[in-house]
Amino acid sequence: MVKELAIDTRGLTKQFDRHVAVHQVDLQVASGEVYGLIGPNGAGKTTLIRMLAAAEEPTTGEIYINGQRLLRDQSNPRLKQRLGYLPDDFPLYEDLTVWDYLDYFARLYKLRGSKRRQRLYDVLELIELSNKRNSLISTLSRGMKQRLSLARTIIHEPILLLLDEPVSGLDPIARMKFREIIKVLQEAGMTILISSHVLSDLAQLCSSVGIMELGYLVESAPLDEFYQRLGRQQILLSSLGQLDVLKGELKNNPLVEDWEILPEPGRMRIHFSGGQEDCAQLLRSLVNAGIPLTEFQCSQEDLETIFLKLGHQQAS
Amino acid sequence: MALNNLVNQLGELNPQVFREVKGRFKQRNVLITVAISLVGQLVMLIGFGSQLPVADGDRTIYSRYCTGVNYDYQRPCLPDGFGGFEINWPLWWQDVFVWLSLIGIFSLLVVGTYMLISDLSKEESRGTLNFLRLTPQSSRSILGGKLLGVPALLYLAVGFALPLHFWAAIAGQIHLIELLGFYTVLGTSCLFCYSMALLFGLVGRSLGGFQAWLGSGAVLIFLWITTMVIHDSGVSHYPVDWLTLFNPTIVLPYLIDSNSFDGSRISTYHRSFQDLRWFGIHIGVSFWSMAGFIVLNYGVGSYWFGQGLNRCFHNPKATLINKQQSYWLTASLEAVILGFALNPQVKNWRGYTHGLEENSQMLLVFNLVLFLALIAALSPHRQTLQDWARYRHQDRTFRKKGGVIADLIWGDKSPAVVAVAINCAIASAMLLTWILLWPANEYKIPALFALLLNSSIMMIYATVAQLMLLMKTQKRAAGAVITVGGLILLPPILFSIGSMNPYDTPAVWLFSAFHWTSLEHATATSVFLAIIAQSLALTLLNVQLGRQLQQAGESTTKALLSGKTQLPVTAD
Repeated sequence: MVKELAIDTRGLTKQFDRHVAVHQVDLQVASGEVYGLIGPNGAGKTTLIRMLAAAEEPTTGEIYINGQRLLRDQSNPRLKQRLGYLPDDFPLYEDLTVWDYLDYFARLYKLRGSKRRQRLYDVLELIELSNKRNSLISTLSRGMKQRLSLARTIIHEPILLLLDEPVSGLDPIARMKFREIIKVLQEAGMTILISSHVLSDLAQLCSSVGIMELGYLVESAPLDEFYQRLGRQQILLSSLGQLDVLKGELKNNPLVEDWEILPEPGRMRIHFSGGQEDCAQLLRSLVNAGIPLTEFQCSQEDLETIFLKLGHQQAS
Repeated sequence: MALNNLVNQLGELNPQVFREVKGRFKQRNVLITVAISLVGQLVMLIGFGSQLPVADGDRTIYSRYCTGVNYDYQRPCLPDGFGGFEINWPLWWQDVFVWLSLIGIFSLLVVGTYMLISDLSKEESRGTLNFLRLTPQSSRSILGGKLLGVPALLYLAVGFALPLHFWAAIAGQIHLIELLGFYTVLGTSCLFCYSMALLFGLVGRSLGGFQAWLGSGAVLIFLWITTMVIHDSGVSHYPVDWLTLFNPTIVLPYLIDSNSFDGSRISTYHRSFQDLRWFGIHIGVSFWSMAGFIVLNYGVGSYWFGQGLNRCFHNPKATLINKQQSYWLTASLEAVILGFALNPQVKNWRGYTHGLEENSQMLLVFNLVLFLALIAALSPHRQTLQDWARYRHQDRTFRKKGGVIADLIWGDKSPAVVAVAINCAIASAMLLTWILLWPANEYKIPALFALLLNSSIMMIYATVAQLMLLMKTQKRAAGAVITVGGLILLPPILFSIGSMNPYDTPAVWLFSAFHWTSLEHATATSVFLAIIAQSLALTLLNVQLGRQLQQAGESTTKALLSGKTQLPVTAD
């Protein structure tokens, strides 16, 4: 069965003076997906997300959200009700308390009475700011402000979340908390488009990724397909014996593409083109050859390595 | 608690009011506001109290508030039999009412304008306004909330002064129904002024922190000058009378006049707008005709500001109004202002038609201001023009709607020159009809030439402004303002320095925005030469504009191949 598209852009282009920031992008994101948008600075990710959020008008092209045309005027209040957008800077009203701020946005999104109150409690609990609900926003830390901004983005239970660099500038613990919240939202069925430079986070969160460069969407695929197509399998090996003997054995296996000696004594990394069965076969052959192995760890190349390998090195 | 409930209920109706009131109604702020209002009223009452007569031995005391007979500002005081004097209390209360009204009007309009511009420009520069744009709320709901909520503390201060104001009106024997009429006028004046402030807050953010001071300062100066005119000069029978109707203090003399206790008012200053006429209708004859016209005036103004707000709130890069709206705006404003030009000041030594000609010249000055505003409101900036020039062919509706000509007349993103020309035609057609109906032919020809030269010079300004807005520089808007401002102001300054007055050297003045000063003295040949020269300049400027637009519309590949540009260096 074909999944309904949460985002569907057709020939989306944005030009600033002579510079084409986004060029003829046809992006399709299925409902319920977490889609990671990666690319160097200046690739056009922010501009693309701003257009999807109706914060920027496209020069040409069309945007459809759940099959409905998105226009930048007041003709589509119902569509706006379904969108949540968190920009990379997150301006807040410092003169309001956490509760009043969320209450204000809940009212703007037409949540009424007890339902609004309950939603506020739920969201505050989700972002772990229940104990800060009466604090002035100006007294919150950066991580708390970022979570509060996310709370503002999801207060009206949008079905499409657009998050632009949501974890930039956060410490590891705050990032982890943020990741957990995103997972909860994903489980709740929201479609999430997220741009980030922290590719390890995206690898954990996303079901699909797209790579942008110079305004073009150069790759867009499910993460599994991405790994399968572009990622290589690598095996970490540690031996108590001579590495030359190990190398000699590896040369005998046609599925070993190349290897790299790591700085730690007796340790090397090999790139392996075989499957799981072939991995087991290689291990068996090494043990049979009497090599004193202390480590044999199969892993996939991570997203960051794949991204760097693709050579997308456009300067910011 | 009750206040919280009220705010909560208000928030259900309009979330923006809720946010503004929540942010402002802190206990400290409320106490300070109430204290300022009450202390201010007390100081004013003490001030007026000190003007009451005090016995000074056997000397005759004179005071404005005494009851003796004297046609002067100061009247002799008569003893009341209790050791004091008979006091004209209704007059005293009327004076309290007038001053309280003046302070209220100035505070509401000047301070309120400052608050709104400052708030909106802060939201725009901080980026929070974008979040509001993304919500399903309409611009009317958000901006209406701002209008009601941002000056909430000011409303509170005024609210605390209302009982005294009301009491002063009752004690001054002002008709209750007229008092309510005055409040309606004041309310609509706030709506007009605040709509203008919101629009200025949205579009003038490049002025930074100076923006709020500029806006409120302009309102203060306008109110100050027009209040002086209302108080000292009265109706002038020039079209500028219209401007005084934007000052709500104009109705105050009517409130007092209908039941005055001031016997010294034998002069006519308080009745000075009695003779104000619009298309022959005596709108100045009574409080209700005056108040009705003022409310209508404010209503039309607020409607147009509302149209601009609606467009700019959702898309800050859009032009203030669209081309279709501009045609209606020009027609409506010309109709309103023309109504005040039909009844000129008749000077014995020149006559009625000369008075009409004088008024037509004043209308040209008004048109200069109107068209400068229209050029600013209609001219798209570089990016929009580039997009229009490059991508308009991809718009599926473009060809259906009639191609480039229709787009230049109606399109949102096309250059403004053709639309300004149509607006010139609308304004000129209305004035032309009026000029042709003048009773004497003596002044018709110069007036018609003035109309022609005015249109041609406006078109030149519009093309120059559009060319400047197409420039690559960041400060292109400032460049356009300086260039057009220079074109308007520099010629008269240079002519004055060179001692070339419009009487002796009329030909050079024909190339300025104030050509009408010299038309009476210019020869027909010089006028024709000026028209030909201006048409030539206009043609050349438009050819240049066309070339630049064509260049802007070239694809990057074409530009690269012709060596006009380098590969773009990307930046986010």
